[in-house]
Amino acid sequence: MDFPPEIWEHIFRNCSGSELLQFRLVCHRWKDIVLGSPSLRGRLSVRFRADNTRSGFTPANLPPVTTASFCKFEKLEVGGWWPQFGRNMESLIFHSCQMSVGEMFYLLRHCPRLKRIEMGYVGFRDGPADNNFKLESLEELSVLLIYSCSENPVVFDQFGPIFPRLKSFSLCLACNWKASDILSLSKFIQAVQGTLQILQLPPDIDQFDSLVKSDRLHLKQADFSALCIAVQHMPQLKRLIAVLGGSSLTRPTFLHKLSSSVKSAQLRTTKVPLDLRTQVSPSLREFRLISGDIRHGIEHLTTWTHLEQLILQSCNLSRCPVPSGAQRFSVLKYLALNNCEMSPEMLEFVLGRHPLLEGVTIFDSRELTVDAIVNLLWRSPKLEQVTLHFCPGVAETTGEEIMESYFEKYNLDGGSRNVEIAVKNDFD
Amino acid sequence: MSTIKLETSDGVKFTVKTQVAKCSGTIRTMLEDIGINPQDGEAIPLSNVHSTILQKILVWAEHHVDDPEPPRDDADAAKRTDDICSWDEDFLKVDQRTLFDVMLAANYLDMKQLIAVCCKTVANMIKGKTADQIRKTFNIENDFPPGDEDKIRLRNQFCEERR
Repeated sequence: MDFPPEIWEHIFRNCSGSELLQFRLVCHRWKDIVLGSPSLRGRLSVRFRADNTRSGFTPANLPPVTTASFCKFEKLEVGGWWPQFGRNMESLIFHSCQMSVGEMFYLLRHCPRLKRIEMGYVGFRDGPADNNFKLESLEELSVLLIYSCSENPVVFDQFGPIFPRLKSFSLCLACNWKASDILSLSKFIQAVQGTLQILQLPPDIDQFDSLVKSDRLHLKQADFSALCIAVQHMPQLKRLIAVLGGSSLTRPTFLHKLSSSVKSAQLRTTKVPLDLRTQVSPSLREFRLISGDIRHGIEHLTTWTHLEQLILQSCNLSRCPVPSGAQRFSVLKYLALNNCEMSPEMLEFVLGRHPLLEGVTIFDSRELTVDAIVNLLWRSPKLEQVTLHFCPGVAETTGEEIMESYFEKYNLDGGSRNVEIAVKNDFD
Repeated sequence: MSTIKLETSDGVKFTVKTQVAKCSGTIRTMLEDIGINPQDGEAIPLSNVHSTILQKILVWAEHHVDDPEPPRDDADAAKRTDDICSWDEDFLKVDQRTLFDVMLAANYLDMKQLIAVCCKTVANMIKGKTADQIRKTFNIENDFPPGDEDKIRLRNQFCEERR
């Protein structure tokens, strides 16, 4: 009485990595099933720590997994066994290590199948490095923080040429970086920008001034931050996620310069007053603004050329003048206002003029009234779904009652239109 | 309501609502792609399924016939196993032999939702157990030569769960 291996594999997929290790001990078949399945094997990694490699370690004891992590090494010297082991590696993780670039490159050059590298808090020592190889499979480089152990700049530029197919690069922190470090980063980004699709850079944009001012990055304006690097010469970029810092009134004109491959942009700002009186790329379909302090140009934001989805999250619109006079209609299909601050007049404005709107979500709005929703229903005849979450002005009512008010106000037959309105006042 | 006939390995014939029978991907394919015409009164042979098990599976299919299509899940992430609905939990409170038979039949009949819930049930039987306890539960023979188990244990020491 037993199952074919594919059923066991299916069962094992419900289990954690530590449970999988236990299953390896049951019998030959189970052992082979765990490491024979790419998706199960991918949940396990070999862990090298400076302490466990010193005692009792022999390469013969390594299970053939595809992920390895190195933790707390002060010098990264692996033996002649690495090429044999490394050729199956798909993912490498370095954490709290110090090494020379040469030591890391020795590891990397023997991992032809490597897809992903993660570096958390890695320091690089000076030393010769031979970068005469390419990792054709590598798609993702994720860096928490790297630093230089010497006076020389961090080593980003040395990585650029070996990652010819990099799709995703993220850097979380750039603490105490000098201009030369940033120059090294910019060289790296230049080297990989042809294939890059996702770029995430740290929020302390002030530090990027020198990078922006250097004409190596083809920047015409010096006011802008790392975003400009990202957007100008990246034909593959599909989605831009960026953090904008600073304190002076800023007009995000780079949105106009996005290459036509960029369909979706997310901008998080840190206390930057925003002036949105700018054009955006006609290819942009989705825009999410987080923590935006909008001072001007709300009428531009809601009518940007081909924008279909607009999400405003924790934005402050209370210091932005409510536009008056004739305004253009938008082509928006979905609008979300999450936890945004604005006057009732501004809310009325933001919800108006979207004849193609199909869905609306409003979360935590003190200004929202039943009447505002009724007006929205009238002005957006294609509206199908409305979700109102934690809005005190409508908390006492139900979707049906809102629809009744709508039918009554516009003297329509009850039931002549069906819009799904959900009023939620708790988290379920 | 249209019905079709199914014939099990032990020669028992079942008359089943077509909609219920189509919970099985295998039967759906036979009807739609291969063009078996059940109107002739001819029974579809299910040569790998015994009547006692098919009976049980049809009860499940009848109960779940209107379930929406489940979302495609991420094969690489460990799944939850504490979300089995109470009806299914009761349905699968059977002896191990029957559970295994239901699972094999569900696999043969290509019923993804039933397979998923059976897998979760079996996963709950092996989670948190030692290798020895698992062998006892499923009557699996320890076929490692002496010493090999320790070698694997040693190798496991170099492993950890991926974050």
